[in-house]
Amino acid sequence: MKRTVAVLFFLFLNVSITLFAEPRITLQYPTGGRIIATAYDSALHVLYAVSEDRFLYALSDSGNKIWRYAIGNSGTATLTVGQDHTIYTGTKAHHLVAINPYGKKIWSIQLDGSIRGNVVSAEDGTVYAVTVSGSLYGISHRGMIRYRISLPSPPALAPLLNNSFLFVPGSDNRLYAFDVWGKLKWIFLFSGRILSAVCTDKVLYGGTSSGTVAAVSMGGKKFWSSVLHAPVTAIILSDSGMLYCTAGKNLAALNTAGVRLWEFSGRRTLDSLGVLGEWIVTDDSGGNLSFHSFSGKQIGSVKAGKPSVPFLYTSKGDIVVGSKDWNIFYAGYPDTVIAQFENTWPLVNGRSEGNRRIQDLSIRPSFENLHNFSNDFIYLKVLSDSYNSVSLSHVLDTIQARIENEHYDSGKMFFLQMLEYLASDCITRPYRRNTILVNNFAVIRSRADALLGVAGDFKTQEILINLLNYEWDPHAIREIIKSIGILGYNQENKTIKALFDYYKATRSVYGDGYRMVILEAVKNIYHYTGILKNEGVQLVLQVFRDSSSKQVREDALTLLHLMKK
Amino acid sequence: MKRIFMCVVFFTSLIALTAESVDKTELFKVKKDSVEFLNYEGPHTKFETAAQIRGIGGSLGKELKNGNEDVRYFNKYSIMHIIDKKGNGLLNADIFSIEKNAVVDHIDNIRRILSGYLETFYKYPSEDAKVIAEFITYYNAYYRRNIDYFKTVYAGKVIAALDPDKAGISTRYMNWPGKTQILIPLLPESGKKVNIDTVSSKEVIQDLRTKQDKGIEPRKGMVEVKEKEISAEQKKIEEAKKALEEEKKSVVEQKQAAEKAAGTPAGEKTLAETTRKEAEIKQKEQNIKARETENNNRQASVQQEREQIAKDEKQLLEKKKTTAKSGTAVGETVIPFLLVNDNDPDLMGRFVLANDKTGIITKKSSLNTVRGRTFLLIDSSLFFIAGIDKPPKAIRLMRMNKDTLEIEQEGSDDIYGESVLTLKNGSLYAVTRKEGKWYVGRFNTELELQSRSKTEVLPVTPLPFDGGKVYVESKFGRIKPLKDDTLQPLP
Repeated sequence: MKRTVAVLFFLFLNVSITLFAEPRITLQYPTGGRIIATAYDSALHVLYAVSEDRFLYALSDSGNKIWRYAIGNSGTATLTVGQDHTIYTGTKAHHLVAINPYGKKIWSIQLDGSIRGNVVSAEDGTVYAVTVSGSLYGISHRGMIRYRISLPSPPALAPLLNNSFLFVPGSDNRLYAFDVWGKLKWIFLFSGRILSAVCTDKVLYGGTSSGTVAAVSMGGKKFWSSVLHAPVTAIILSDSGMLYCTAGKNLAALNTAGVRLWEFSGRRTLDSLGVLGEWIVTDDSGGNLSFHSFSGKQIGSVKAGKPSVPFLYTSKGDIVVGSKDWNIFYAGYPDTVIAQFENTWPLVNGRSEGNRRIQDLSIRPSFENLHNFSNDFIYLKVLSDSYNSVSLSHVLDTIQARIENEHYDSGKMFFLQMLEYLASDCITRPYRRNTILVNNFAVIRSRADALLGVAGDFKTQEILINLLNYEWDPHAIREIIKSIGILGYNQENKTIKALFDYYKATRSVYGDGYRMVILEAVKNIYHYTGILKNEGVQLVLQVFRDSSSKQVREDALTLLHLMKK
Repeated sequence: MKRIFMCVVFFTSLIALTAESVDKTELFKVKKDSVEFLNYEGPHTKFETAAQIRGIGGSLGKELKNGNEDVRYFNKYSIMHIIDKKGNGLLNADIFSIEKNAVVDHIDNIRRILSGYLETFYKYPSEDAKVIAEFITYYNAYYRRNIDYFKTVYAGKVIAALDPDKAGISTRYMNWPGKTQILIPLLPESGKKVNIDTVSSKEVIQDLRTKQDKGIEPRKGMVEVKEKEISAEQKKIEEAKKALEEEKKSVVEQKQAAEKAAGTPAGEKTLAETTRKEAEIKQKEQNIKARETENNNRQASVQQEREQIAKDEKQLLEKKKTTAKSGTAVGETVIPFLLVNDNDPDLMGRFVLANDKTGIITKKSSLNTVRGRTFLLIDSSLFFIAGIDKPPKAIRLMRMNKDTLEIEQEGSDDIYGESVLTLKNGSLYAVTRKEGKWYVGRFNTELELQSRSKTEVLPVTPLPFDGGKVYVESKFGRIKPLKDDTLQPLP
């Protein structure tokens, strides 16, 4: 009996407790224009919204403005939060802008057209975007265009990304699957224009204008298709493995074998769809948010503004609707306690957008495992093993020219790995002639280190930090530190901590020139992330104390002052 | 019967309303120079659909398109389309007049007529035409009879067509027929579009902001209309720049060819031609630059208005929260009350909801023509008599939701404005008219006539009941008993 009671009590704690009230609007935030894009950072609990008043807003869960950023030109419906909390948004002048979580612009680049939908941010920081002009861009987190590909057809939707592929739904009813280096792997033809899609690592589900939902394997083969009789405008996959779709006025539930389990008919065409706790939530063109149980029964509804963008959830369990009447509405069940609000976010674009666990960034595979696409790379690979600095310089020249050229080059990711290889392997490659050291390739390493700052991604950052423990050439060390600063990535403050530890160990060895480089790196990281924690401040203070140079001390004070702001 | 909550008469002394809590003047008086319109809110004998009313404007627009400059609609409305070619940069205008035979009594209908006109004559999309029409009325109300202002803005031909006493529009509906000339400012020179910057000037917006709702919704609409114009203009500027670049290239080529052939008559001629073209191009460049600057200035002004709208809306939300907190606390309720306008010769009133403890008014009905001081509360509805006895307006029995103050039902029989209104056995009794004569009528709660007396009565007759009978004063001054269900004389 006691055990039964305990089990029941435990179950009680682990289910959502709703006070059976009607859902209602809990907050309303007016802006100066229609809301054209929204995104939510569940780790920082910040809602971002782009309004037609040309501002990007950052709001807390309680609806207070944290900051707003003047986009300067009309914004577009592009708003994505990256892996490192960087916010990416687009403008009508065809810019992609990266903004740090503190509302400061990091960089802005011009693309060849307006961005279609959202950009997708990969785990290594690379950002993928498709434009209405029909290009697919791979862009580093520092704004360097890694490649640009002309798509076979203008995109119908934003790209989707999983562990294997980058998917681009085309307006010719075809789904194009690329690898992350931009090589087209396969094409799948749907029965109609693709209006919605969601993917896991194994399956992609697409909804079409002809009213079908199809499941496609990672080999480009159809698993199944199911007919819903109305254009499928939204599709999500819940953690429990159920597919929920909106098709016209209907909300339908399918299992992952494509069998329709139930259908609920509403009064108006449904716009967007989501799963929150124990509810399925839909939003229709009249601005009615409806809450349904998992069996399809409608439990409650509330009227928010007429939506101009698909709705989102906050960590508090509120639903956020960006509306045509210039307002952001927060709605939900008042006093709802969700005892275990785990990551129940639907898988969208192949990525769970709840409280993400970022995988450990592993060091790249060894040189032998590098992919090889063409003879072009074989010769470079061979040359990079040389003990001849002229040959190695030639390799670097080639890599630099090709990396800096924004045009599509299937080798760009390969070159990044090659640079990392050169920067690290050359440390182990001192060249002696008759026991006399002739060349230790410091210049090569320095150049590779510098190029890594230009072309690198999040993984490169770890490699560079690691290299600090091995590199001994002062010039190369400076390039490593510079590159670490330029790359800016500072997840969990690891980069700053590493720099601080390194500085503490080496401060008596190197002079003010080296301190300038340290300060520059810290400043770049601050610019990228918008914040420096205690170690960052301590590092700058230590540099200030150690230096006798007026310039260094002034720079340190300026930086401290900037951080204080 | 059990379900019927009887509440026959509320006297003004029932609730002690403090002077501070009731700002009655706000409910009945329109502020001087304010753009708050006083409309007739009451029953009508004749209804026209919104589409029909827009059609009036549409037909005026069509007539003008046929080449006429001055068109009329059944001596009720007219429009003059005035283009002054010697305007010297001053604005042209359309003048829309409400003639004395017009019976329009609600500003929404004037806006519909204007909207229909703008859609037909200027080809505005209907959403944009609605917004512009609304602002035209605000603008004309703000500058009512302000001839000095109009003279600084409009061309001579427009001023010549204006009657100083009629220029603009009054904020009171009874002053519209025969006393209204609504100016629709047009672009100078071409006159091909409405000058929306004029109708939504800073002064007009400022005045709108004094309204309770700060005119948020129409201001949003106007911002969106302006953004469309600015985008369209920007596109044209880009195209003009492109075309100019092409022209420049071609002139450069011509010049190079001319320089090669220098010394020859053809060469000299071409050179002179290219020099002339270069001067033209320079002029065009300056014009484009001026257009771009103006467009950018417009954009900046729109941005400012967006900021202001967001601020105003935030303020309203804050105010709403505060009012919601102070309006009705736990244990308090709101009660419906009839506020009578004692400045009105007809003593017409409107319903409000008031906090029963504090007397603070939390809501008011849009209907403002309630007659007398008698109303009935049955279940959740208020029953009363409202209207004006002047076609197409009418006096009718009305039913209103007591919680929302929204009209639920309107009777279709004419009622005497000062008639007694009584409830007996679930039926309503009032004096009703048929073919110009007055009778007693018995109505159900759907306001449908159930029976009518054959006896003509004095419209001011009381209606006392006693034992299945109702007593009336006949037209000839005699007191007569009638059966209370059939309203027929007793045998």
